[in-house]
Amino acid sequence: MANNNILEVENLNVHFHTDEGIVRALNGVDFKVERGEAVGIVGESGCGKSVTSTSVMRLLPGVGEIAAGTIKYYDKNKKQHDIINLKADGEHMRSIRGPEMSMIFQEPMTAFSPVHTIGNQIMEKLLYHEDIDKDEARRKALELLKKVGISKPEQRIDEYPFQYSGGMRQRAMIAMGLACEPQLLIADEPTTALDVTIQAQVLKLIKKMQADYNLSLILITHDLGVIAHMVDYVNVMYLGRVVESGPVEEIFDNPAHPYTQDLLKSIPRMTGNEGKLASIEGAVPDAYSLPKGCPFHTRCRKKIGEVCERAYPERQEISADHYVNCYLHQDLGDK
Amino acid sequence: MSKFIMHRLLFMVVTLVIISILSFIIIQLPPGDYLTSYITQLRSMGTDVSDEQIEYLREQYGLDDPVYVQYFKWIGNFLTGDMGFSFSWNRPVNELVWERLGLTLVISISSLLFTWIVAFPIGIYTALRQNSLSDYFFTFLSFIGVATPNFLLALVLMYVSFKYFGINVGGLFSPEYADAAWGIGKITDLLQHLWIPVVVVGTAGTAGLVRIMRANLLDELGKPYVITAKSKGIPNYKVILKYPVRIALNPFISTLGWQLPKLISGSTITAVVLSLPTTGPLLLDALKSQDMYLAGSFIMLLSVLTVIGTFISDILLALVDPRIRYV
Amino acid sequence: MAKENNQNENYENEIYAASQKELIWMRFKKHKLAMAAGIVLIIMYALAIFAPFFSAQDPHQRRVSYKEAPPHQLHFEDADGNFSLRPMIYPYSKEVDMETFEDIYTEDTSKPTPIKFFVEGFEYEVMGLFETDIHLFGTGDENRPVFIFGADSLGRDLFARIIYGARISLSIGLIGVAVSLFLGILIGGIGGYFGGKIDLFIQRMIELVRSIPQLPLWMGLSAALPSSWSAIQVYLAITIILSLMSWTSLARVVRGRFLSLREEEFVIAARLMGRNPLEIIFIHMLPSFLSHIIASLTLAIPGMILGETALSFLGIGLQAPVISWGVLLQKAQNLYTIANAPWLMLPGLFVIITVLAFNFLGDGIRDAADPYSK
Repeated sequence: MANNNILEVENLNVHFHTDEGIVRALNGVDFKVERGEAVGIVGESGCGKSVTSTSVMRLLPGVGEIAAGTIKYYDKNKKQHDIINLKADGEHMRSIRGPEMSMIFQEPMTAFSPVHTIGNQIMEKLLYHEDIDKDEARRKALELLKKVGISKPEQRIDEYPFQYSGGMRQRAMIAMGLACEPQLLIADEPTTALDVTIQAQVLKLIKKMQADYNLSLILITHDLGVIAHMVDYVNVMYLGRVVESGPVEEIFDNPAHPYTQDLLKSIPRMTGNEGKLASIEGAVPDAYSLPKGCPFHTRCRKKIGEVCERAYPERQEISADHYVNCYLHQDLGDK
Repeated sequence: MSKFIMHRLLFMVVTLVIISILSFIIIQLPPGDYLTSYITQLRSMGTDVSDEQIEYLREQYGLDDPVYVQYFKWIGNFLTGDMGFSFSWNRPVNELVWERLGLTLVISISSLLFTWIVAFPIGIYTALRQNSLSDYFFTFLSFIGVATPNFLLALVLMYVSFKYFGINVGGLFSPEYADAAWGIGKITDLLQHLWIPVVVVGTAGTAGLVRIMRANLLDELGKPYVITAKSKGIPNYKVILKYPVRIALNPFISTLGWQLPKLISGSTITAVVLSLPTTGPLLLDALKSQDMYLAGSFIMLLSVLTVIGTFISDILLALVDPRIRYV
Repeated sequence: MAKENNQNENYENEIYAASQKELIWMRFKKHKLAMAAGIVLIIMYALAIFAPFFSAQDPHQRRVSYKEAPPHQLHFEDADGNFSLRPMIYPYSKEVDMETFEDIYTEDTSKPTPIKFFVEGFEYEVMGLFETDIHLFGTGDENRPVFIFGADSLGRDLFARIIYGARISLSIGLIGVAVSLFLGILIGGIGGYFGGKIDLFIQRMIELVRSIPQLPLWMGLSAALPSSWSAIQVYLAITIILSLMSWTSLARVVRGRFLSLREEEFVIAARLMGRNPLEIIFIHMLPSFLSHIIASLTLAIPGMILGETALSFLGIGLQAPVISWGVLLQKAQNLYTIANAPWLMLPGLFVIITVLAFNFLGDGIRDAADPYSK
């Protein structure tokens, strides 16, 4: 069977060693991305979305450690790379970062160096990975800036990030992400820091670029509204685990996990007059001391009982490609 | 950019005017006018001073004019290079100051370079190896460096080199070169003596800069743009050198403004201890013997040096940091 | 009704203030180095305040036969090797080297002299309250004085002189800082409170003062002090000269805080109620960043101490017979003296320890007051 996946993440565990103790940021994350597919990762802040993406890029900060799991990446020639076993700053990993996978960050102001021109920062990537001279790199950078809709790129290329507006900075960030024509683009909350009106433009741009470059996309967001229009497949994360995953229509039409259901209810809708906007009771538990069993049981409205506190529920396929980890969907007859 | 330079230039001129007023006040501070005390001094030594001479001097320094006229006369003369007359040396002040000022400048600039060359790698090293044994070692050392007064360090260095190596490290020249004309030999001799005052003057600044560099770099290392650069596949060391180090470098230039006054202050006192032929000892003597024209001119000139240095550092900072340039 | 509200507010304020203080204290206690520095400083100030009690000799008493005598070594074993917990010294016998004419001091082991504690010595007043002649330690024998730090060129006890000198050197820092605190808060506060043109002007003024080389100006000003002035007058004048240049860093801290604080609601409320600016600055704004001020103050003291030391060292600050660390270090100015009597540099060690301690303490307070601004 020909494997059409570009990324396979299995049982990913990431720990952070801090002064206060070990934080278990990821506790067995599983997901995959098919070639050319757009996959969303959703969850509240602190659930491990960004840790997942930085782990895939091997850009975890010094205190973070991948404790267990595998990350497999298949490159342009379908050659498999065992990301976990590569040296984070080694040549092999660096040859993947850039030409193979690329990342767009949340805060375009701070994600660019303030004292280098936008052009310099885009060209740096091109010059490092491709065997071209400065003029050629500049020409390519100009082309990219034009592509992402920056007006007067010849002038803009020599400007500094603080001379760009927020939306333009994010466009430049996308241009930089697209340099070296990567296969997989990871967008980490790409619109959170932007004005609502600009958000839509930037999302459209990402969608267009995905089609134009035939990219695989991982879109990380806390905003289910964004996910609906952008991705084919959704992974819902809670406290370092994927609790539900499925095709985007399935998730929106038949959410199976109480957490997903609550998340969906908390999206404001223009239509219905459902009255008060729902919110999820309580706050995300402290990551230093995770609850035993299903981590959501402390806030779950549909908690069955003691079983939810005993062990983490197994993954169940409830319809085609739709998985959920919840005792509500398991046969508890003999337990 | 040109607007920025104009702005700084204007500020420089205002600063200089105020400093000149301060220097003039210092000249005026001792009770009585110095000419009278000078003449008394001369007469007590048996030198005859004619009334015309006195009249001429009174006229030249405008001692009978109101204070502000005296100030304008003094500053006017100063700008044309006439800094008045040193009564204790019996020579015009400008004959006395230039060589000493030159050597002061040599020591201050060498100390600055020393400060940078030492503080830069140590700052980076300690930031990258945060909380390691060597980090603690250098941090401790830099605390001591900040806390040790210049002159004490000079004393200890003098003591150690005399006690254990039998050399006297004072002065800037060996006796045979002290009064010789400038030439290769004298310059080599100078360089051989120079390092001690440079180390002494530079230590406190180095220690301070190491701490600033370390703190800044630690701040910058955690910034998102570092991750962005790494996500491009650039090797760590290149990322660190190009981005955070480059930005953490700004304090090297932005602190120049207050480093210079400190270095010049430091070299003043160090020069007294190590008996260097720079402005320090001469200024001290002038102050002690109330040779006020000499003292005032020195204070004025040292301040001018500092202000010019600060101006240059402002321009440099604008060159390296676009955020300032485009304001 | 209004009164009740007010009381309520006060009550809440009180609770808040207390917990804030506790938090700061908790964080400060974690800072081991700062705690140690604090203890060192307490000891230093105790030594200074009770200097006569801690000195074995009168710091002004000259003893011709002890000129530049080296520090006494404390022995716990006598010449026969008998151990005793009570330390003892051997008095010096002096010879003159006929070639170099230097004094050579050798220990006379035939006259072991035990150190006694709470011993009688010269008379002194305790804080102007009562007279006593009890000292922490000494030999109790006027003819066999103990010099734990050696003696200076006039045969005076260096240890006594150092702790007497601490009275001047340590207090000049405090008073100087108080003066610059006043200037800094006033000027920085005005800039930060009013903002705009006034702030710009004050910022420029701060920049200007900072760009003047301190030491030459200090030298110029202190050399101009009339020689007829009394020691106290010179002391005060030097303090003011030092503070004239040092208020800038405090003013910057205050200004920055004020700029952010003046947008806060409680300040706007006070302004709307028609309080005058000085009242608002000192009653409403200042208390809200007191801990920052204390930290900056602590960090400003070393500069003062070093300034006094430098000026006195150069002979244009305080003059003998006043004792300060700088005055003491004057004796250690030439190579000949320090080569023969290196212990004359000991006051310098006290300067370094004090400055280090203030730096550590200040760092600790700053970190405790605001863990996020490093």
